[in-house]
Amino acid sequence: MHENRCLLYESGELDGAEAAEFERHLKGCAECRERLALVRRVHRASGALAEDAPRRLVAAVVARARPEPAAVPWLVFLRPLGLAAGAAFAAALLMYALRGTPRTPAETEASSVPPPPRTFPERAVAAPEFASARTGRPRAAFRSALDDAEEFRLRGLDADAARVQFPRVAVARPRLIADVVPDRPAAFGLSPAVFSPEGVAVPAVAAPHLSGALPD
Amino acid sequence: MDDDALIQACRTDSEAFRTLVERYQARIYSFLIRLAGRDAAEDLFQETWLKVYENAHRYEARGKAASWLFKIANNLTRNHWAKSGRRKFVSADDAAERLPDRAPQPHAALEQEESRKGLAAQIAALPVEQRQVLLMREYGQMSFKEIAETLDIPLGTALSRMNYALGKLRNALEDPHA
Repeated sequence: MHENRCLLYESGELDGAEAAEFERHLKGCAECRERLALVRRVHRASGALAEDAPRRLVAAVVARARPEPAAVPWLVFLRPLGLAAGAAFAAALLMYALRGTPRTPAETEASSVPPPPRTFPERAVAAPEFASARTGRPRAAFRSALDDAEEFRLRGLDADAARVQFPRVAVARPRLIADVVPDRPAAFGLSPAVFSPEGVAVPAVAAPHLSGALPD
Repeated sequence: MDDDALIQACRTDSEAFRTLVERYQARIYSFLIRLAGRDAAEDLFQETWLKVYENAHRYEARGKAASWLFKIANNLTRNHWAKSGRRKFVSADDAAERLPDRAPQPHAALEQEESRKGLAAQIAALPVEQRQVLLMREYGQMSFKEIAETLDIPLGTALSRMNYALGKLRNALEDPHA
């Protein structure tokens, strides 16, 4: 039996002459015919196991992609200058960009302040009602909502912008915004105690109105 | 627009990225569920597309978009295993018992469902090397030559792994209770 030929024939990787020769062989070889039938049966059965990704997951992936500005067309004029001249020009541009515009003393002081530590949500711990009963790990919906919330926080958006740009968080997971914008929880009619400052979800006992709010 | 053009455009054109994701979402998701398990698949799915987006400008258009996408998904799964120290097989629970519920069915359809679950469990039980080849062929629709290049193994090795996998899956396809 030509097991490899069966696979390569089925995947269309035999050239015309090889395929024709194998087809002639198939007519007289029951084992190869059976093998080829098995390859096709596995193909059909695997197809039946295929699943679409959840729509919320696809939407989250697409929402994360933000187009970059198109390349600056005038840079093409650097090409005739040659590599060395182009590099010198690019270096000059870089130095100018690094130096930037003059800053006020307040701006200079602000820029020297290190960014806040990323304490949320990577180390967030799901309370029992947000964890899978089977694995004990946070449910996928919980994790992806945390991702959105983190992105929201890092981008420094206010709550109104979040409503527009992160509808999944703003609508389906409003309490995350309450955590991200601790000074404006009232805007969402939420209790700031839903998440502790460390990003730890409180048990359902302490927030019974949230119980069961997250889908599995 | 073909896949190569979509990948090359997706950094500057969100519609191109959306089209690419829609075109491949079921295949990538199915690949990840069967390779890494349902628990890890959602995170890996998001990471895969993030990586695709970040690296799209490095993609060389040679008509091998599927190879490139599935290589990313496969590498991320390997990293996931390395980081988490988790097992490299998918439990039967992950693979079969939580297949999406379908509407009530007549006897024949129930048998088909049993067979489907049986096959999922058999795939989950395959050694990871065989499972990678099988899933790249079935969901990536990649040629064996592409699979061999993607996994950096000889063509003969890719073919023999597939043959071993087929041998093990034969029982599940013949007897749903195997």
